[in-house]
Amino acid sequence: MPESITGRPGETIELTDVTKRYPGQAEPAVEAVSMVIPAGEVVVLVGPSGCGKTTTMKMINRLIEPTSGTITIGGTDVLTLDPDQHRRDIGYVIQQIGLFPHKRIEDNIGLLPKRLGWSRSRVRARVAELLELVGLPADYARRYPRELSGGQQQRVGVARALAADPPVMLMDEPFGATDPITRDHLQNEFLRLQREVRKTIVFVTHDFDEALKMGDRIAVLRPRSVIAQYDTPEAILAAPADDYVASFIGAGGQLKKLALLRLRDVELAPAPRVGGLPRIVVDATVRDALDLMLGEGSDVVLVTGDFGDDAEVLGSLHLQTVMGAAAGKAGNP
Amino acid sequence: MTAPVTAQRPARAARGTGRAGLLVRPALIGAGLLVLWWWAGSQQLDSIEARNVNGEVIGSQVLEHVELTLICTALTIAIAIPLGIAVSLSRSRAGRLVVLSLGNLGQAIPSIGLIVLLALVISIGVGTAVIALVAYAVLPVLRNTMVGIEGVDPVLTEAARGMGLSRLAVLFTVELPLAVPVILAGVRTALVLTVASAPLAALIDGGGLGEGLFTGLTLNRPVISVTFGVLVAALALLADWLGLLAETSLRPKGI
Repeated sequence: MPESITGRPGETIELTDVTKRYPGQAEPAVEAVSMVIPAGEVVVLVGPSGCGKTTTMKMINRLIEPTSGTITIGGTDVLTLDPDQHRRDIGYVIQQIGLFPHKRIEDNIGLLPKRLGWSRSRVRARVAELLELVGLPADYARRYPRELSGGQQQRVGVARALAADPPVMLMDEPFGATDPITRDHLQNEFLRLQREVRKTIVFVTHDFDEALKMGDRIAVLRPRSVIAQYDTPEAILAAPADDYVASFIGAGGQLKKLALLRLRDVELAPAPRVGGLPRIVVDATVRDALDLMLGEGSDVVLVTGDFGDDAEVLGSLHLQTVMGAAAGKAGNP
Repeated sequence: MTAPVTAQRPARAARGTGRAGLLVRPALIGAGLLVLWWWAGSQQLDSIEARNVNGEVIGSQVLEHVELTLICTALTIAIAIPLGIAVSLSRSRAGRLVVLSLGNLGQAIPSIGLIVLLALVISIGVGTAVIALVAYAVLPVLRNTMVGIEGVDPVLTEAARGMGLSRLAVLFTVELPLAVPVILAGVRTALVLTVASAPLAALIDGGGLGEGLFTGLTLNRPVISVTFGVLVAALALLADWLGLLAETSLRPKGI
């Protein structure tokens, strides 16, 4: 096949002094935002409702035209491009999903590739590939959207956005309308998928915990989309820029920090020769390990390479190390 | 400041009763026509009645009536659907107001008045009858086209625009297909309106079943007027049924 899922890698997006002013309104909706979104990273815009985060995002694919400022993708000024051509290079996923109810799943996913002139067989192969990528059975291609659950529909929404292999994806609260369990599933699957496709993703949410989970970087926005802090989740948790950012982190900031730290990134102690210690897989987070310690009443747990009693033991983790990790010492991320 | 818009609702009848329900209507119409045939045949016809109530006259007038209806409906669709699309696309409130007001005006004037008025202004004949009937039937199709397009969930148009479809592509791939049931409901209304108003064409020498109907009325021959009256009613019911069939079969799958 001519292109694989990982065909086009992400490109850097750069916003410079981007402002949106609506006529008849004293204050701009978005005021002089400048930020660099590195290629292949997930950048989450997080802020309260009405802070202009969605407006900022929609200016990138020009569903909203900026009043002033420049936006470049891969060095190209997007304002010089034809808006429709430009949008075909940007995947767009919205909270309400917006699958076309009169079109089968394969036609929803294949709509843009078909319009781009792909051959019938190439479109069909692409649809099959994407359905597999988002974890849906191949025979769903022939179904209509209303025959799918909300979570399944959003998987199709993501597949549709990826259809023409865009280097950039915009996601506006994509998992906001699903129940907590489905949301957790979709988030995990999306992170797995992103590890494969390495697109540049702008992700909008008002849920700071989702931002922590999804983002390589987080931009905490004030009203008018003014950036309060733009940094990695770890750095924001470790040192919130001000009270506004701290209020977003809310209670349990230390625990949230531990939830970002995988056991594989922590220095483990050699495994003690004692039997009956609780076991945890290396893919889990330090927070999971702490939870296990509290639950089992043990200040040390064994870290294993895989699930199961006969899995290889990689080392052990002590409560002392966890406390050090919270203070930002033990980890080497 | 927008004109009041109440659209005809798309048919749901076929849902409740299933496909078999669609066969009830033509059976009833057929039964009605049989009763008419039996009743007319049992009457003692005088020479005037015999000259009007016979197969040849009825056949030619039904044909004229159907022709007139088809021409009018085709013209109505050809005018109202593009106009409705254009007004919806322009998103102009003024355009919407003007078009709907004109449409309302066309329908507010009693059809008999409109036909006679146009005959005085233009001339008598089929052409004038067509103009009057089209003016009368444009509104439901126009209104339903606009309402159908505007009723498409904005989320869908935004998703389509967001993936890089042009305004026109969004219209043809998303908005119009989803508006089909509403537009067809308007066409069905227009079709029935036209069949039922077309007898008035006979007043200005436009032909159709109105000829027999008015002959019966002016000459005080109930056999004639009842025969042609029932035929008009049967045709109108048949037209409505055909519209229903179209709505059921053309409704996009998946919605």
